[in-house]
Amino acid sequence: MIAARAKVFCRGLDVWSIGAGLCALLLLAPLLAVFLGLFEPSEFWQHLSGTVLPGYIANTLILVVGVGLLSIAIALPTAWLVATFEFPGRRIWEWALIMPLAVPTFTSAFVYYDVLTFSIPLIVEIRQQFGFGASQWAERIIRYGMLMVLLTSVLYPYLFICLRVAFSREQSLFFEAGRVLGRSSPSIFRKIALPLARPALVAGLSLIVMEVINDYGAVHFFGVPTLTEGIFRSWFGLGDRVAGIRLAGIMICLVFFILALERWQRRRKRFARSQSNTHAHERLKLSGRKLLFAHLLCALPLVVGFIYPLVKLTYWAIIASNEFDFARFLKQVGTSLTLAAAISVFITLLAFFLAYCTRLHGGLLRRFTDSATIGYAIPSVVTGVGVMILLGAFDNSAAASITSLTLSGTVAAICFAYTVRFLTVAYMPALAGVERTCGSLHEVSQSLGQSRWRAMVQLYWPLLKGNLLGGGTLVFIDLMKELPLTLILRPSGFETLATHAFGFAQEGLIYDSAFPSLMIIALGVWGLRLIHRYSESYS
Amino acid sequence: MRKLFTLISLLATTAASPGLAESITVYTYRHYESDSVLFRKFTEKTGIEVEVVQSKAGALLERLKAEGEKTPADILLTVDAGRLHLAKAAGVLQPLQSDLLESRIPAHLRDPEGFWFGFTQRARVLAYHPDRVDPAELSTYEALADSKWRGRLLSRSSSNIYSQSLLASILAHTEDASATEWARAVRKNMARPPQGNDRDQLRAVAAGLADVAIVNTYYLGLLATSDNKADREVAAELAIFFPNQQDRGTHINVSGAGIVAHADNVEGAQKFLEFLASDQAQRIFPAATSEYPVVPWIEWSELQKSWGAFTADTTPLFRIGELNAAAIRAFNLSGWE
Repeated sequence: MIAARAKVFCRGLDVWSIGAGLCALLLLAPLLAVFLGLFEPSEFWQHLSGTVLPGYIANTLILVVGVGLLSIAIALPTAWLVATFEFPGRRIWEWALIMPLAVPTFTSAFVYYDVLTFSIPLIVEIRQQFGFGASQWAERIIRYGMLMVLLTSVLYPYLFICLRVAFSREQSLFFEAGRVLGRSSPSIFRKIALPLARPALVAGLSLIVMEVINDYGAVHFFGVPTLTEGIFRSWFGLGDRVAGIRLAGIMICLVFFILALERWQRRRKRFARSQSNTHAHERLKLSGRKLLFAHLLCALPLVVGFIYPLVKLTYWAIIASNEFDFARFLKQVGTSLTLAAAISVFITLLAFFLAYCTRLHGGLLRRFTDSATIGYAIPSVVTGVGVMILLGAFDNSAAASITSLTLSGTVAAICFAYTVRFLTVAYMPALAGVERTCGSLHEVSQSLGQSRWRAMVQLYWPLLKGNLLGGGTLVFIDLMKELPLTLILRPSGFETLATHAFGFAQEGLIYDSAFPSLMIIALGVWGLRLIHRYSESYS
Repeated sequence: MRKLFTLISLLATTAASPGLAESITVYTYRHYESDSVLFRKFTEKTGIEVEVVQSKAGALLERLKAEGEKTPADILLTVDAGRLHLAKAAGVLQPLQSDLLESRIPAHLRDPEGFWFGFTQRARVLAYHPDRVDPAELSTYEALADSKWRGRLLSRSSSNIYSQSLLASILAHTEDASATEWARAVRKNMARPPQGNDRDQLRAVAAGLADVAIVNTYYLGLLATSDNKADREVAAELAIFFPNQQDRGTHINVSGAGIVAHADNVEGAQKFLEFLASDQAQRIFPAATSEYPVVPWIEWSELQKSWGAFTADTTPLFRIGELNAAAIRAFNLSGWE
């Protein structure tokens, strides 16, 4: 049995599988380096778990549930509206509702922090009227509520995109069947669309959940310590690396638990995809009061997540423009852009290569490469320190003294960390493309005796271009917004727009932080526009 | 493929090769624009270029540990003695014997073995609203535990090193249990759960949410010299009280620096530290960041003079560093978030 398996395994070894396997191993190495430390004794673990740990978990869960529910409340109706109804302005909303994705969470936190300051008179009033206890509750509700709203306002587009695609592409046939059978629109929504959109709902929500539990800037600003903040506190504050890693472990378990719960719930249901996309369903027309309501519904998240921050940042930028150092700023724009563009191209190509290799080999290799793209679910701080440990070990080893190469504290170190973290963003669309688009073409090309290399370049590349462009642009936007990895790993004098904005804000120069923030948003919107256009022409 | 390798090694070496001029690399947690002025002055004076890596304090320490012998860093510059002590304990600093530094910097503001030296001081004081608080009501940090302050206090979170060092200074004069009790009582007296930085506490006192905030002096200075009119008004409304003047004195802390254990340019690093203690550098701090100089004869800024002279707690700061972990534990037990 084992011998037979080993035989199969050995037969599968070739340049492709070994190459992909090595890439995957390299990507997993920093995480392994960190998690190997998990079993060392922790000085403070017992103390932490007896005092602050329940609070961290509670805060994390509150935010996850709150932001998750709010995101559903925003994304579900808006996606349903733009996907199944026809009304003037629909196509604009379809695109505009994605735009908040370009706003980094920390920028949103700076912009909305004022609300807490403005709410002080209200809290004082409540205290005078209803006593100290009531004012404490009011303060808590305002702070947690505001934090949830601001996180939702920039994260809901993940869910919106997933749902819109699911509603408009996959289920058109089912809707028409429902209508033919005389069902009303709300009933179709409840009985047909909602259950069918569940995979999309889960996909979008899990992205949001990961973003929420990984957030550091916003939760720190609003004084809501979550597990991520707990990692910073115990690792960098108490100097207890093991305790930090154990907290990260809890976080990852949380993610897997949520995903497993969903899988268990739908274990007996199967979701067949409708194969035909050609049959575009007819959209119901909206008019009168319903039309007004539709516009209001779509405008609300856009105003909160995008327009208000944009207006406020522009106002700050005008105030700051007198004494702002534009020469230095332009240099930062240059660095940030070049780096993000180069790395997103690299990550996309790597994702394409890995996806193609899994198509060739499947099975074990597929499982291995899949697990190597777990970086997105791991808190940035853990990835960052993992890269540090790994490269530090390399630099102090014999290999480094022979080649006289130093990797720690270089641009290469940051690039490596970015790849570990963001590969999955490009890998998922590439994989979906390989599986869906190329179905039986693969077998055909093989039986025609085309070499694997030629099949990759001549067959897969043109077919996958759309997926790769989409994935690559998302990576680009993520890179522009990235903060913790850059902060932890950057070499001397290395600034991106995000570190620049954050640095200003930390110094209390909130007005000066407006320029880099606006630039991040502008580039993000441009990238999203690119994806949107392409996906439109594609469909 | 060869091109790829060339590219990688190019990327790998860009940051590692600072060029021909002599240089030192400073890992710093301080994020003040004025520090770059200071670094420029150092380069003008000595011809040594300063490469700067700015990051979170704890992350810098992890980075120094991981980089080991190959670290490009020569200097670790960070706020709070607690951090400096952690760096010393982690073995990433090396001792320096400098008569110049020892003669200019008071003993309690530097490590007794020369692993680090303080270069600026900040006092942790009580900022209060004169309309609602009679300064006669204020006395010591310990007295803030009294129930008469219920709902009238503000402070930032316990994850902040300034909070931790204040509690460590209390721990240095009492037992663990009573320090935890103090933190619990003060937390109960807070008008809202700890959040934001010291500036936010000051703004909230001015807005009427509470009467007294525990803050560092230089934050009031930053507000007083801010470009923002609303911030200047906040500073104008509030007054400062230096606690514990009748006993051990007000808790102070430092921004400090030490030479990295595996520094390549130890000589340049020593010059840098001695420059930070020079009259020229020390005169910059009071005006630029409202931090107090460590060299006793350097004149304070007008604003600092207006706050008045005070007796500072002279508990050696390395002791505060040693007690950092105990302080965090006490905070966690007390429920001060």
